[in-house]
Amino acid sequence: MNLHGSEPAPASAGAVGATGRETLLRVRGLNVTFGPAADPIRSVRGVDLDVRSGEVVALVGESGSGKTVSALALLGLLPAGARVTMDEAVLAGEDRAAMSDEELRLLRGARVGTVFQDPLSSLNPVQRIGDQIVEAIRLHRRVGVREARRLAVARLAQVGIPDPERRCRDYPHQFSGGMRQRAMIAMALASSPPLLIADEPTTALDVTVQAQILDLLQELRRELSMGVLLITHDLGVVGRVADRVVVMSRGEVVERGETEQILSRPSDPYTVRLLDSLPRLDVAKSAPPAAGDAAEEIALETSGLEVVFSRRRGPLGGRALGVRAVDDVSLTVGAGRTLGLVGESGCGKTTLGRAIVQLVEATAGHVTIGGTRLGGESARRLRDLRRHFQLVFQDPRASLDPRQRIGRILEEPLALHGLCGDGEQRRRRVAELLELVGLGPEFATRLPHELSGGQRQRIGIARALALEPSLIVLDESVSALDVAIQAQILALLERLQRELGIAYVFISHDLAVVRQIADTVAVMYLGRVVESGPSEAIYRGPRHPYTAALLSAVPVADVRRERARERIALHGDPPSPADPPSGCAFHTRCWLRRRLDDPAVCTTTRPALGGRADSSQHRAACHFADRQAALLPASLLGATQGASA
Amino acid sequence: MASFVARRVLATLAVLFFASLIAFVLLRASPGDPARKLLGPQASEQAVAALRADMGVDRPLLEQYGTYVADLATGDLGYSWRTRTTVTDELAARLPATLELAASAMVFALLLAIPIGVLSAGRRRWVDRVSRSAAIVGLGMPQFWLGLVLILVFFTWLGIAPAPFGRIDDTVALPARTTGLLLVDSLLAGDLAAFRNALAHLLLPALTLAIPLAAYLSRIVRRSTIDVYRNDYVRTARAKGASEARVLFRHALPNALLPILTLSGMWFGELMAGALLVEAVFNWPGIGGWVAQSIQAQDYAPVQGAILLGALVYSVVNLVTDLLYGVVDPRIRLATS
Amino acid sequence: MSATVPEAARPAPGPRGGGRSPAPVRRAWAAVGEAGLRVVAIGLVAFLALALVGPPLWGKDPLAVALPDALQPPSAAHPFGTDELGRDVLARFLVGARISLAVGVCAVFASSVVGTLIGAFTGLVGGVVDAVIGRALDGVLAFPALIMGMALAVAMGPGPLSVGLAIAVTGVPWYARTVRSEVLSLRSREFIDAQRVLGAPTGHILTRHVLPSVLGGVAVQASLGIAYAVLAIAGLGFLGLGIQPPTPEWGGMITAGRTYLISGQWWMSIFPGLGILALVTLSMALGEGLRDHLDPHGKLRR
Repeated sequence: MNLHGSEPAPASAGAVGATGRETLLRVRGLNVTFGPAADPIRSVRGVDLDVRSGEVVALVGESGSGKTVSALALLGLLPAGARVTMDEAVLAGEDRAAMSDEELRLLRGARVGTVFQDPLSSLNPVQRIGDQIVEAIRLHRRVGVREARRLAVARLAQVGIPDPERRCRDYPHQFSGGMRQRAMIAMALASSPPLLIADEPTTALDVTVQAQILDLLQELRRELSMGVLLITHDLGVVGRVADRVVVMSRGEVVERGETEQILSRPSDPYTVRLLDSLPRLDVAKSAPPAAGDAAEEIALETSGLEVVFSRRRGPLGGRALGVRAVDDVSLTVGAGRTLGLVGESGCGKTTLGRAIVQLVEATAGHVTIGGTRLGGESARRLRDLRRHFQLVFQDPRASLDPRQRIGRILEEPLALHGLCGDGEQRRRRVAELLELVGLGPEFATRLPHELSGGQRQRIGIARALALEPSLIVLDESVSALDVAIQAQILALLERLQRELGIAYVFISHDLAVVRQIADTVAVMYLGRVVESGPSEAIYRGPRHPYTAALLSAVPVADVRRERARERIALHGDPPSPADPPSGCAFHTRCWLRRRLDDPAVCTTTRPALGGRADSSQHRAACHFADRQAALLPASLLGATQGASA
Repeated sequence: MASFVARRVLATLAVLFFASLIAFVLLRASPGDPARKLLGPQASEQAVAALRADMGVDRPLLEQYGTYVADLATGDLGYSWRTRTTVTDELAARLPATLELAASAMVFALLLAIPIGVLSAGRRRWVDRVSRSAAIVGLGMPQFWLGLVLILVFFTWLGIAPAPFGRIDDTVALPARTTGLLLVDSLLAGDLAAFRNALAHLLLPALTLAIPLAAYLSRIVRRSTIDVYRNDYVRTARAKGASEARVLFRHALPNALLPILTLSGMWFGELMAGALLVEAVFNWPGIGGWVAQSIQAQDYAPVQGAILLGALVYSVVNLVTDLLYGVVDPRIRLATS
Repeated sequence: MSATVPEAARPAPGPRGGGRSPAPVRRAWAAVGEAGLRVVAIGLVAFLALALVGPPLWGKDPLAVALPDALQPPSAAHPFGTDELGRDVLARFLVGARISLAVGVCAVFASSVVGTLIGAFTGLVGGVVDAVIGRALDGVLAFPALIMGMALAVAMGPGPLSVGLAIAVTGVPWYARTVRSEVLSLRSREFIDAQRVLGAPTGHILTRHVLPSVLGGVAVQASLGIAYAVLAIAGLGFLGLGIQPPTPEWGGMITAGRTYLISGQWWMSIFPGLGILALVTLSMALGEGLRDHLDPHGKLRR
């Protein structure tokens, strides 16, 4: 992978899959049922699939659509109790339908490699990485341990793990997320299988790391001429790597075809809806408010906010380590506006959100909400002030008390703040809140676990609304939801903002979602804001090299544009916040710095968040912010501006 | 790793400190005059006072605790007036009998518990139902009563077990003592008759001790096996093409047996307490029977010695398992280095 | 979750209409949960009834010595036989049930209250206090109830008080551990953070959200604790360190019958043992059932 790992579009997507390629996977009429025979749950119904060598076929669908179940059924990895039938199946050149369990077992690993979603839990925590790959090799090849170890090291090198000799003696928990997924891929490749099945291989990863893994898959496909069955919910990933797409919904295939055709001219209504609800990098907030004027009311202001977690080492004391999770952050959000807070995992965005709502204490700086400066007040006074700022959590399941009914959950904040008087009034208010988030009054008597994920998140929002706050912090509040539900919740949030004039701090790792909802954006890296300004300005002309790299890494569901893009590749994972690099914290991964022949100032001086003379709103913390525009690939901007520009 | 070991050793010392404190408070600070108990009601007041001064029980409690700990540190556990021996000697003489019983019980228990636990974690539900009921009954039986039932059935009714008195028949010559463990000593001496006789005597008490433990451990193994099989890495192993046997023995079982290791301090403590009762039932010449007799005679130095020995064994077992756990699980070992 | 609704994981069932406010009995019945748990509950209630009204109903004096009737095998007049002094074993068995239950329940109640308080306190405070108290509790853990009972019997003389105290003291670390770990895991749960964001005072969070979750674990532990207590009472009685004769106590009865058992007069020892077995088994099954009932994963497992 070179710095600008520009991927040539696979020789005209239309021609791939033509004759001359070996059929690795061919399934007709795959059915999977669970549960009692009298009342079966039919998870997969009559699915047909084909994968030929050298092509990537994406199996796409929302959660519960049966895509993973289909793959596990083919591999014989479903739990007992699942009943699998198929009319016809060829797996890696052999007749799958006629195979005994033992023959299927010998096929797994040898002829079909598998990569799963969560690389940490998918690797055995108490075995060394190298040993796990050695096992995969020796299960199918009669080679000595030493020879197998040599092969394992070669595999690790092949998937881009630096210093494989040493790393192969590490345990999974010593690897970073991206490295673990590389190790999983190395293990899947152990016996050079012609077919690779990858189940959501990049879903648990950050977007810049996802870009690396997708590059790796492309490379392997090209060099080894492998066939890849890629299971994913992310149409951007599909647009990026897949040759052909199979769309599943409720256990059935609803549409199949060439990637470009499906993504640009879908015919099935389900696919159309899926694509419509997809947040896009090139579509801005639907109803941007009138241009901000100086007299605008301020809902939230942080100045010089800093959160340092001190970690003592054991009861014997020792050196105290400070992790600077949030470092000198100054932001403002206007009343009724939305600030998008963007960054990869570990950048401190969640901690910042929690510091704003006073869940963690700031070690320096202060937060001002609605003109009231917080900090130093009595616990009682703070509890009263909490009416004005609320938080919606990422995981609604964990943030609702499992033993309380919904009505009780929504009444509790009212009772705590002595609002809405007596029981009857409160019940009316609960019904009102439910209606506000689009749910019926009958939900009041249900328990959280009886609700779907989207419904639960609506309850989380209703609970925050109960106190009529002027500011709501939304911490990855739509990240766990399927795109269609996500779109509904985003629309709900926009409606509530218009009707009630609430300001949002919208924390997300997903740049496309942020573009859709935010008026202003702040990008965080290792605890600091590296770029902030109006959303439009940032998406159209990023001034910080990190923002540019993030935008470049997001795959978009538009084949022509996606494959024409010249990409900025970032190497490695973000450094540990416990031990940030000197000077500009981004310099270890900065592509711009390399293009400028490694200026020394980056390693010595931390750049301040500064604006250009002509637009004081759009600020970036980079010594060379003004020189970046000339070096940005033109195609990058193409992806973020699009038709609406 | 070094700091991990240091911390675990420190924690163990802390536990031992509290244990010694508890034993001290229980037995020295209790009402009643130990000197009077020792000398009996006929002794004169002067003699009692002299003995009190001699024993040091007239000094302040804190000072008493100091000498008590100092004595402990030198291995001095006091003197049994009933048997006229030092507690340390007596414990050392009786330890092999108890050890032989406890160790064989442990082996029996593990041999029963691991296969049963793994099988009942499997797909056949009836296996689980049967083993679950059996485990609850096994845990519900008082050990001494179970011993009596076994004696009733195998000695009184069937007549196939030897009389429940001691480790070996009086008519059989004892093998030369090297380890004190009769099974080992008789094998070393090549004395098969003695070995068979000792084994016959050992079988019932060891089973009595093993059954409740096996019942408990089988449930632990079942639960942890189920938990381990839910991990994604088991699916990964299958996806690699590993056979079910390999998945079980190489990936699942090592992780599933960890809870047995972590809980071993606890169940070893229960094993020791159980030995106390079972030795009494089978008239086994170990520490338990001796302690039981000492209690009846109100001779408390042996009782205190046994309590401290129990606490020591418990703490050391816990320490060893913690360290072993560190060796087995790299996440613990490497996180602290 | 109502026990009448099958446990199948169906998505978002509607609100439960009709019987939303059942009679207290029905509510308690529903709380008892699955069928297996109900059988256990019936068994325990039967046992309790036996202990309470059994002795007056049977009417024989458990202490009345009748040497001519000594060592009679079970018969219509003496269903459980007579002991070496001609006392009716069934009468003694019934009173023994009372004693085991009374001492066991009192001891478990005391240790669960103390243990819960200590566990909640250390879990909430954390830091050095938690570490020191934790080591002290580990120190107590080094003494099984039997050993502690032994020491206490020597120190303060054998009797119900020393037995109960030993069981109570050795039980405390178990409750403290259970509660502490529950409190710690709750502290990191988001719904507690959510309460803070809403402006709930600490007292409100503790009583409305933490305590209800913790009590489930304590109830499980207490059921197992009763089982453990009954065994320890009998074990101490067997060693002669428990409740002293002539009070009929199961462990002591087994000891008394021991020498006769070897010569074939088994009933003196066997019946009290079966009583212990039944009571312990029922309490343990209650604990296991409660654990599965309270654990949402456990439900799906079977």
